Amino acid sequence: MAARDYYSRGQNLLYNRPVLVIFAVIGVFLVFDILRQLGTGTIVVTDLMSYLWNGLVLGMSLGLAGVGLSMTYSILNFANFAHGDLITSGAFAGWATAFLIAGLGEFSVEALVLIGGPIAVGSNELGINVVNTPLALLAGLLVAAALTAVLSLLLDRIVFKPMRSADGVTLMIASVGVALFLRNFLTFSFLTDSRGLTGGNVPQFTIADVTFGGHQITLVVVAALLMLGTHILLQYTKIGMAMRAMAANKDLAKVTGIPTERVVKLTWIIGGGLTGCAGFLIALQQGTLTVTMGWDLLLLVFAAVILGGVGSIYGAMVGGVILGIASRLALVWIPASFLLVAAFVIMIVMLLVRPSGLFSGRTTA
Amino acid sequence: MGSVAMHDTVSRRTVMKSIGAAGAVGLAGCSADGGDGGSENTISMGILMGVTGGLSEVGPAIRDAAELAVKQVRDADNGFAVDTQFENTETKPSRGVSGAEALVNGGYPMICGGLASSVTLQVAENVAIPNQTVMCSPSATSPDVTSLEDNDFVYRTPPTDKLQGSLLAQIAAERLEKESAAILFLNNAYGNGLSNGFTKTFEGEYGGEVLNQVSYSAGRSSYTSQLQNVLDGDPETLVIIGYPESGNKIFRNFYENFDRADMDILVPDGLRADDLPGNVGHDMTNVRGTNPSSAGPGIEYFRSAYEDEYDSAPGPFNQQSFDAAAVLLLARAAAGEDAGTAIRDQMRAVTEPGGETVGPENLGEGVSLAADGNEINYQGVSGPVEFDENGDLASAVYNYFRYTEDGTENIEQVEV
Repeated sequence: MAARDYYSRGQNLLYNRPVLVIFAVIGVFLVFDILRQLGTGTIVVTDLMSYLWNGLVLGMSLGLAGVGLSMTYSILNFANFAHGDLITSGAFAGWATAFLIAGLGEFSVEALVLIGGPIAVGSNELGINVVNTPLALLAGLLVAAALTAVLSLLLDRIVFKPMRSADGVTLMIASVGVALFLRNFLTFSFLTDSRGLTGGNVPQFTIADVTFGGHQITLVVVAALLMLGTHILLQYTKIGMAMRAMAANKDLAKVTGIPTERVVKLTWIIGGGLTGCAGFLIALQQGTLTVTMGWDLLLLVFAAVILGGVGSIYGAMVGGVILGIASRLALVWIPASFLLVAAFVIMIVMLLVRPSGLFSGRTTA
Repeated sequence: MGSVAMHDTVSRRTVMKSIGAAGAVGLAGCSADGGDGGSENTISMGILMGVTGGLSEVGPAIRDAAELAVKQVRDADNGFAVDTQFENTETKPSRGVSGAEALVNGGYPMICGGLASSVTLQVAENVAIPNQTVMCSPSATSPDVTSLEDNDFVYRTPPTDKLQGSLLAQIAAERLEKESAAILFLNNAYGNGLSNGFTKTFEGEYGGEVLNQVSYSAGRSSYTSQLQNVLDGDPETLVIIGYPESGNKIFRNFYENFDRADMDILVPDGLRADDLPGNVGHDMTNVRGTNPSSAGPGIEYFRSAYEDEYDSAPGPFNQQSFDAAAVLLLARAAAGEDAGTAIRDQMRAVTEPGGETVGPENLGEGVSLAADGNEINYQGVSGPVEFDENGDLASAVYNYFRYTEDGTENIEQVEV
């Protein structure tokens, strides 16, 4: 879009959208307040940097987790509540693999596949971290992606395909059922214990008093690469074009000869794969895993997707990062017990000034 | 397991009730059904516990422990039958209230339960107290249960969290010689109760200073920010209140992001878990804590009886659950009738010192002794159960423990 478009839009803004202007003024005021607090020494630069870094880490995990959700939304037109539990399923599949590879010979196969669980496997004895056992982690990441993709396809075949012509609300309710099924199946197999995953001396770097955890960096880098990969796929491949066409207009895409059912399948595979990776990486960064991990995260992922614009994949990425950073930066003003409030205030403001989200009208592109 | 112990009269009662309900309007005899069944030699006890929902992990075993007390009385050849009805609260106050109403309508004059403090409080206020039904909870530890306007109808067998909060404060001030502290607590009745209990004693009795009180919710992706907040101003000791689910993540964040691995940390019973150091992946020898000791006179007998019956070792609050059921059964036998007020008046009588000592091994005999009008002194599995004027335990024994490299060990026992 040309610069003068923005200019004329800015002019109209003041007259047509006073609410937006008010929020903008508040935003600018907050930025100045941060600068003032830095000047007076109420907060120090290191604190601010660590807020930003932790916010970015949370943001990238939300963004990556949101891409799959946004994809299914744009192609299949429904809010998939089973997404959170797909995240968890991916994490469990990936970590069972990582445990198996890292601990084979030392512990019983049963204990490793169950990721500890009732049979204690000390996370320190296993010593899984990105420096010690990079291969186990890589294998875990791949299995997480593959298994979640297969699981998504399977669920689509059993549950969603027979309902293809149903409306969004019906599909959404079906997805709630799928979510409950998945979570209870995981609980049945792995129990509800919170288990420790990583161990040994997890590498970390301290630059100017700000700690960058090795697994945080891993998450940010791998998530960025996966997002870049998704971008290339969507923009420069034939299947990506077909996906975008279908997101824009399903009927027209069908008429032009795009094999819609195959596109749907690919959407589940790609979306599921990314979701599995997200689950695995989030568990790696948290260092712990419970059966409710994805479900607990789902509300934030939805918020990120809504912030970015429902159905827009870039929106999910950007929305996630904004939400993550905002919720951590809010520490400058509010106590840590109320962090999420800031994230949701941002979402509400966004819905007020731009109900269709940041990247509205640009489904998948 | 649980269903095996179910008595015939239960199904008969259920049938009668459904007939009553189907036959509908104004069968005045409806509530008398319970009375008919409640002859002098049939003890009626409702069991109201959450075996699904938030307490799904520990609830079923707690129920089993209560059923074990019932079984002891049934198996003893003393002429007493025990009629129980079980209602699942799903660990939700609303389900708890409707379950308790079902029990009251079924003519049960006493309820063993509920489990979670939130459920117990709602059931007590809305059902048990207005209907003059005696309640004894095996696991509600919130201080709010103490201050219920309960006309003496509500009892419990575990000690209140308030005691533990002040015990932690006493340990921080006297044994660890700390003058400032900070608290990171789970935002629920348990966390709030302990946090306030600690603060009150630490500041009021020992002149210490609580620098920060930061609450957290379960299931967050990271607790680094909360830790940053709570460690602000360099407190000498940190109190962390919660359960292993979030505790695992909190301790990981603490050891990874803060260079204070030698800081003294105190935790309550919720965070005593032998597999925690393994899960956290860090030696936790800087962490100490307290938990109610549940080793009373009858513990050995209880353990073996429990293992014989259920093929597993008793879990948390199982001892208290056996005691809650046992005290109710004894009080009902002493009262001689299925009437809430009469049972209430016997609750203290059967636990106070003096008279025949009854424990888990001779509970069946104890019931007939009580019914014959003998004075009874119940010596429980979890301790020498004795109630104060609020229906709380008059005294309680706690373990003072510390984390070792791969588990926990008791340092000593402290009576409060």
